[in-house]
Amino acid sequence: MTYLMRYGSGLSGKQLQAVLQGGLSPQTHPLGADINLSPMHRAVEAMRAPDGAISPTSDGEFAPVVYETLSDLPDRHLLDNRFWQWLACTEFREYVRGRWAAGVDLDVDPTLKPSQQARFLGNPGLNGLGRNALSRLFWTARVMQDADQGYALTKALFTKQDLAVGVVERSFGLIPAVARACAQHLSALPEKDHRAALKRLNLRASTVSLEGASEADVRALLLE
Amino acid sequence: MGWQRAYPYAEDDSALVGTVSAASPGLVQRSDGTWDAFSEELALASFAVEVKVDEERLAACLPDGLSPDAFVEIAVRLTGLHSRQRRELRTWESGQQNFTVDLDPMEYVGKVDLDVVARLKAPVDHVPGFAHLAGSVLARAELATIWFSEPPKSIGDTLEVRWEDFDNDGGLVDGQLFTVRMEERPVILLNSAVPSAYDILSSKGTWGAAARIRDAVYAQIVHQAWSSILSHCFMEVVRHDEGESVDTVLAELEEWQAQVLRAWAPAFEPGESDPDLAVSALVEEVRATGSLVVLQKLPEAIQANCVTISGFNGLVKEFDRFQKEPT
Repeated sequence: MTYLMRYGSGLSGKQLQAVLQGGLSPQTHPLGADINLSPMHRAVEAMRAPDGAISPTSDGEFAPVVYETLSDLPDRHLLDNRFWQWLACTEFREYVRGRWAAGVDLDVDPTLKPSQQARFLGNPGLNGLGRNALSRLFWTARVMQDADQGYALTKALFTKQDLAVGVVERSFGLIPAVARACAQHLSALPEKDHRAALKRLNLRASTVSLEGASEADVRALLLE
Repeated sequence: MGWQRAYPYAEDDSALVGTVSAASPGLVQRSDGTWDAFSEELALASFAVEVKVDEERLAACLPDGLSPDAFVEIAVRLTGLHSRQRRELRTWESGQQNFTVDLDPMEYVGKVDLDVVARLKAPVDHVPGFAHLAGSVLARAELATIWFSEPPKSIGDTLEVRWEDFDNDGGLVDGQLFTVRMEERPVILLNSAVPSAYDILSSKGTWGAAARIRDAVYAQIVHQAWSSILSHCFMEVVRHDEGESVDTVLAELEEWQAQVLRAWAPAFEPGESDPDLAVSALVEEVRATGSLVVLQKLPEAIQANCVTISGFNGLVKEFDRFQKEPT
């Protein structure tokens, strides 16, 4: 079991570099919960190529594991970007590196581009939890999974990374029925078509209340 | 003419009236009308809600022959972007309702908004000038804004300044005086490796050469920093779809980006005295022109807001004094 922590305050890009180099140990606070992280560690080991790189195609398989492992935590912790930073910089730093910065050797020269830093750091906003390498998987699996189809839609959404970003980083993507309908009806479409459909839905969402919309209602708005 | 939301059909927000009061101890209404659910440790944040519906006004939003009883439903919605939640709390067919909303503080962070809408229950035949899609909002009223964490301090028109040794940071360019970093919030980094920079820029004096140089250099830094930050915010606005409402765009931006736009909107829209209308007008203008026209206004807006000319005036005074000193 691992006793979960969060950083005392959010890390900056410079602090992240120092943490990854081992030159900085930020103050941490306990969350008061311990979790068995072994399923996530085992999944990471299985996904890693000999050079440590992890393929983007692993997202659809790993997201359910992240979700199942952490879903018992209270939302208040799962919404705390400092928890996800701690997780990405400690227990799963090799996963984040392998998935998003495979060419960087953290022990030798941990100079990360801002876009790579964001995979460790995220930020507290709507888009930010979609940037952290682990929280994006958790929250996508949470909104996509359902009793009938399990994680089929989670996997479908991650087959098109652009679609996943387009749904998860928009506010209508917070409504489970809407996000699921997007994955169900758009994941087989070419990129330009699903982009157009998401724009159309966003336009309609300015006057249509999507909370409470049925799957058929959303489908009609997406494909009208 | 001020900015107004362009509904493509008949709607009437005055058809709904909602009132909210605290129903659990420890909830405090703040001076801005929002609710504080973070200062006290609450087991539950409970609110008593009353919603009144004006059926006649709703009927006027429907084509002839359709009655609100049969075609409209009322829904109370919860939106908490930082809590990653958008959902319905309650729906009913029509008429007044009194009920309690219970929110568990362990499920939320940041700001949560409650509102009530009257909407079409199902699609109806399309009649020009009237809503026809299922879910179309015919009326909307805000109920409450609740803070489950302390509201972020507004950066609005102030910036964090930090000293760094650029020579010792591979990500910073040696020899430069300053740079602007978009971290969780924007920060100005000053280079402590530049000789005399720290002494001059940290000086507390109100007169003399050091103070004049300090003020003039700060004016330059401030101008360039705000140029970067405002441009960054405008580009974020442009990334959003044209059809998104201004409220949605502002809600989806980082908190600090929305604060910057709100704080600076009056400088870009001087003819708009209402701050809410000013930020709406600014967002619309940024989107309509792909930000180009607004970017052209940057120098004037920043000089007006930050009075950066005073730094130059101070240098001129120092130059005059220097020239008058006997050699």
